[in-house]
Amino acid sequence: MTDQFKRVVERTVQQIEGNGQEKDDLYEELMIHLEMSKEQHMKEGLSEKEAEIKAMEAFGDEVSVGEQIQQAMFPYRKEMMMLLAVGSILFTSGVYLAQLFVEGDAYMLWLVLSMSVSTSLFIFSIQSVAFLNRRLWMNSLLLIHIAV
Amino acid sequence: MVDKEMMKGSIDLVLLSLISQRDLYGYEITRILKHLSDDTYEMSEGTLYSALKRLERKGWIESYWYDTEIGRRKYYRLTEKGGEELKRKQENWKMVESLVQKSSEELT
Repeated sequence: MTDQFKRVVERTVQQIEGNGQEKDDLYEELMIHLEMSKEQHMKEGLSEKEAEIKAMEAFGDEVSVGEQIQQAMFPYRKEMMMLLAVGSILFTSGVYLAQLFVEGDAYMLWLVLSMSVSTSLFIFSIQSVAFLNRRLWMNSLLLIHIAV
Repeated sequence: MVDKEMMKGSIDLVLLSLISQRDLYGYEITRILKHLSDDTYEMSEGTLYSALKRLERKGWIESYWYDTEIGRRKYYRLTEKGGEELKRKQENWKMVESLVQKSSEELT
């Protein structure tokens, strides 16, 4: 049954963008918390199963717990990425329009490419960390972004 | 029941005050708060651990693992910077408290 604790805590830790050490630490810390909470409920007379359910109820929604901790560990990261993405979209449109009016001709391919990169950046920044391994995608997108 | 919205502004002060007295681990903190509030306040895990991480990031507390007879625990202790912050927050709290008190007295 501790498997259920493991699943809950794993999902929580998935919301964090920290390094391996930070994640392992948090995983262990939260597991201990749940175990102790369960033990306390058992001391108060609940069965093992009831105690586990009680402990998980108190824990609440693991994704929102993880997001709260992520925000505390890395504040403004989400906002910064969104700002960058929006700025990039505006910049792309600006450059494209300027080229169109000044030179009467513009690179359609570049517009499409730059727009799609910026837009994906934006989409990833509003998603939670767990979504499709956000960190990896974010980093690759940032690199592509610089190149474009 | 303790009003969670009102509690929000004081969480840092409460945690720093507790940790200043002795090193504590997360679960222990929720137990103490429950006891001190006569079972009217249970701090959720999300609130507790995000607050602890925030205080740690600000350098007010630091954590270390410690082996007890019943298993490993992650303890938090107050730093020097945290002590100064605690003092500042306590003074601030006194001002708020006094203002609330005076506001409820008769206006002359």
